Amino acid sequence: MPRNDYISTIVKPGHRFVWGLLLLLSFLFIQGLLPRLALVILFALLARTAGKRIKFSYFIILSSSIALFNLLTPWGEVLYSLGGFDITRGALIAGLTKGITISGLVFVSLFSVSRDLQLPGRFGRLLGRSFYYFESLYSHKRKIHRRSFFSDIDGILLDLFPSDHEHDSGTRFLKTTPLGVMVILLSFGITGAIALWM
Amino acid sequence: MDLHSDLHKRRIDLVAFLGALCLFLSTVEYLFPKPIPFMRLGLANLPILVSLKLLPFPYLMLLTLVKVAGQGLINGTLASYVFIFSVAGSYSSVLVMYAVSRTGGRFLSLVGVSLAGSMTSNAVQVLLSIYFIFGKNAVMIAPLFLGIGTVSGLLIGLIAEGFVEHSRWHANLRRLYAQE
Repeated sequence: MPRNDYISTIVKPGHRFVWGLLLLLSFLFIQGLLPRLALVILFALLARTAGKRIKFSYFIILSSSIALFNLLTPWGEVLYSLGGFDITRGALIAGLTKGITISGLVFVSLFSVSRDLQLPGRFGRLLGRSFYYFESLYSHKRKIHRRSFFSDIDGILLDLFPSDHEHDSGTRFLKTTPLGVMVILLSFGITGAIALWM
Repeated sequence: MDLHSDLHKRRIDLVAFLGALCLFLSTVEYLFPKPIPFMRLGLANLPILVSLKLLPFPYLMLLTLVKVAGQGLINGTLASYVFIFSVAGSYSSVLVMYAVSRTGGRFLSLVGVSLAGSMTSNAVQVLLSIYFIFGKNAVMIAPLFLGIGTVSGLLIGLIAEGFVEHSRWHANLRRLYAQE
């Protein structure tokens, strides 16, 4: 788990996933640019609490470019004219709403999906084994240097695979604490308040 | 797939390890300078590229699934549009790379295979972005994306060629897993 993933210490991975899905449904149900923007800010805070690094510049550029592409098809009242190019209210609001919605979907995913989320069945076990190997590789990260990248990697790979050892995918015991339940309820309370404001 | 053979178990273990290597390489990609701003080199595709002749087709599909699902879980993008782009880009690219490497045989190097895969992946992602995000006006950015895909595909292909030629680990795998 990321070093500063505070959510994982209070909410079980499965509960966290369901929490995210329910917030996602509320998010898509709520219409309007400002309420959605408010929820996106909430989701960004939750993603930061989950220890995820967010490049805000990336999301600002993404939302702006979606809005820009939308403006190429004029729609509604003309707000401003730049040369021959009309900035229309309908196209601007629709573009910004779309950009903000896409950013919100990513933020929900960032905080609700954790590496400890166990996928079911044979594929889930295969993924667990893959994460076991990933942890082993990651523990050798400091041995890799840019100048000797390939020989460093080759040495590590020769050490780790194929291995004669049986391994354990290392599932941790995780549970949702009373504080976790309170945080989940609080997030739904804020979402409800935003829905009422709408 | 023969679910019970020893070879199957060893191949599944190799798929798990190569999947882990995809995830690991995506975390060390920052060590390489970016020739073009915003460009991703795509080191995570290297294990798939170098295992095209090591693993049968169903295992390659499984490796691709481990890669995209693992990245979705680690980066937390499993429940977002990023995951759909990743699945579509990765699978289209692997299908084309597999077809090209089988038909091209020894006349086609990993550079050519990588270029075909990279351009396919970028073309599919541009189509998806036109359909889901930007609308038809996004056709204007297609040449830029495909250009970036060509550069990254070329670089990854060169890296893969060098790795297969010099890696003792890969030579060991070829000895243990090479297909009849």
